[in-house]
Amino acid sequence: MTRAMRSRVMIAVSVTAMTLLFLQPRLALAGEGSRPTSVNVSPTLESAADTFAYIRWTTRNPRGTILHYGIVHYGTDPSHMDWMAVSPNRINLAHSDEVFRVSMDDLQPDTTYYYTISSTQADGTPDPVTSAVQQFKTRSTNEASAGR
Amino acid sequence: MSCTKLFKTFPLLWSAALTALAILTVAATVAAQAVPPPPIIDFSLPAGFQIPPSDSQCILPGHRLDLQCIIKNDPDAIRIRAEEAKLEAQALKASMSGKLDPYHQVETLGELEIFDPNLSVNNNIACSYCHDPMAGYANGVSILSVYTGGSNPGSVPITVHGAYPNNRIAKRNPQGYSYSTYYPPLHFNQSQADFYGGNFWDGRATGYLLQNSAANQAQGPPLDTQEMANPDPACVIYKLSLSKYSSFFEQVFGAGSLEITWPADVQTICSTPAGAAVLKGNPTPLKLSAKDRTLATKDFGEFAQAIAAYEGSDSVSPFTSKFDYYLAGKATLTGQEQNGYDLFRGKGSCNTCHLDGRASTLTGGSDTGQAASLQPLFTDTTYNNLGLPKNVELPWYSEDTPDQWGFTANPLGFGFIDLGMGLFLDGYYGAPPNLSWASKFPTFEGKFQTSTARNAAKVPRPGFVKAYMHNGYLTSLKEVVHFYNTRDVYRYHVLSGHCPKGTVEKVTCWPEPEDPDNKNTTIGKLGLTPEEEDDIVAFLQTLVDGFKP
Repeated sequence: MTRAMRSRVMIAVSVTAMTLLFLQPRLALAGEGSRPTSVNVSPTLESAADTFAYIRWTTRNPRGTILHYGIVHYGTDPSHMDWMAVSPNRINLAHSDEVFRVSMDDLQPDTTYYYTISSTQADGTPDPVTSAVQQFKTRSTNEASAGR
Repeated sequence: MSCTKLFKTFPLLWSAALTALAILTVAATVAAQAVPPPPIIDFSLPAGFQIPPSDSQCILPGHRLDLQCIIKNDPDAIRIRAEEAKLEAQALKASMSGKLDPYHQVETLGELEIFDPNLSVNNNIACSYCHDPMAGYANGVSILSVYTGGSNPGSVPITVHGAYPNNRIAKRNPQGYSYSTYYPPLHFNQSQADFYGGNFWDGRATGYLLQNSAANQAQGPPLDTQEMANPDPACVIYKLSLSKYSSFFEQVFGAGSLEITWPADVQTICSTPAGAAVLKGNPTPLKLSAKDRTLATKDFGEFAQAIAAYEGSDSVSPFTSKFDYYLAGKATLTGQEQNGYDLFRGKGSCNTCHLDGRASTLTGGSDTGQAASLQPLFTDTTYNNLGLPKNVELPWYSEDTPDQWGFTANPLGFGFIDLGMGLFLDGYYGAPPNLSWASKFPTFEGKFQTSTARNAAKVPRPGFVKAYMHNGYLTSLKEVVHFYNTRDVYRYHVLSGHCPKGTVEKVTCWPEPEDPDNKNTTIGKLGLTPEEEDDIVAFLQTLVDGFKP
């Protein structure tokens, strides 16, 4: 197997591992006790094209590790938001507020998506942030251009 | 955690991973078989760049270069060789003066090594050929920034008829080495769950053995098939033992350091480029006694430590920029520079990674005006995937056929994906020294080291085009800041060279990332105006060493 092939395989394994091993157990553990009260934020659609979109939200600086992961749980059915987009964001300890942005790729054109957001520290510790279910629609392919 | 342990601990992974494995193995096989050659595109030249008259004979169709012609004729290449000869002569004179204290002896030894072209397999390029002092110790050949992503040709010409490129050439833009000694040995910070330190774009110079990542880095290019191409570390020491400064090496590191019994075929082997088929993959083809091999290995470590000493010296990393004098209260920033600085640590969020040692001016910031660090490094030494497009102009993508030595640098050709730190963690260079790091591949593939912003703006002359980032895709600081500012605003699903009509690549069109995984979204839509971008560029100019207050 070539390195490129192995790398592609690793990518697939890694996404699975990150989802199941890294994030979910931590999220589950966090619900058991010491987790601070979550703050509800209002994420917005920053931009959408035919196959990708950006979600952003602003929250109080969550502190903890400098490296954080912004997370968008999404799907085409608001009761089954089973997919997840994860983007690394670095926080600045001198900021009182932080902007999180998540890149959602491989979307279907002309489709309505429902989503909620969350974020974690680099070690998987969840940040105390949640949102209500939001929605957006991707552009149709023939009107696609840059994600503005 | 090994994969086996991981799957035993989390059996749910099996089904998902095996499914992904099956799907992607098929997909990857198809992709590997169907990889097209690099596209031949006639890119437009950067504004203000003019091909030097002596280089016009070196331009090939399809925005390509005759590299052997460039090495011989390009004015920057000629200038660099003249500069390194001058510096080598000065250092040699100093080494023989008898006036150097121990501190300056080791620095001078490193200087002698770094400007010595005889340490390459064909005695034709020094370290400084790719690390020009006048360009902030980065690529100093303007035309290479324009045509090859700043990657530099190495010691070995390729003589296969019709071959492109016609010289072995590195796969990346050379990283400047000023302040490189301030990067600690690579380590995984448990509380931050992040890698810090190391040298090279991908962190593979961990410094684990010498406990000096810059010294570990200095051991790389002399053995790299694409660069100085020595076939054996001992060959570097053999060549050093023939130099005019061999006795100075022994003065610094001890009498007898170079007393090695070399085999009869030493010249033959040491003039055979690394990777040559005749070497049969042997990384130490010189047959030395165990004692001499140990001595040569020790010498190779000390050779590298001397280079690190020079890199950390006042000649290379002096903290003498206008910004340093500003921190010392001996210089005042202009209005534009000050505005750029405020944006750098505010709206631009640049100092989130390029640490300036001070607080932010963004809402709620509490900058007291006092510097928390009086010699900030303008890097946090971490790794990020900025989502840079593939630079299709890198000749590396065409090095997919054997050269006259039977060596193929890049068998994957245009199918090669630069995974940055992922290459290192995934075993591209052999297993990482800390085996537990391999499991961190998923969250670090695609990431490259945050370079210091110091001396990023240093160029040999007005009009010089400097390549930025690991693949040299960006060719000015304005482009760098504009990329950070608008990457996600002007995102298009295209390969470089294929931006839609009505857009301008690098202005109103950013092609897809080479590796989309782990793409950092701290940047991408900063909301800076064009004037604010210019202000940040003006501030970056204040980070060039050599300011006179």
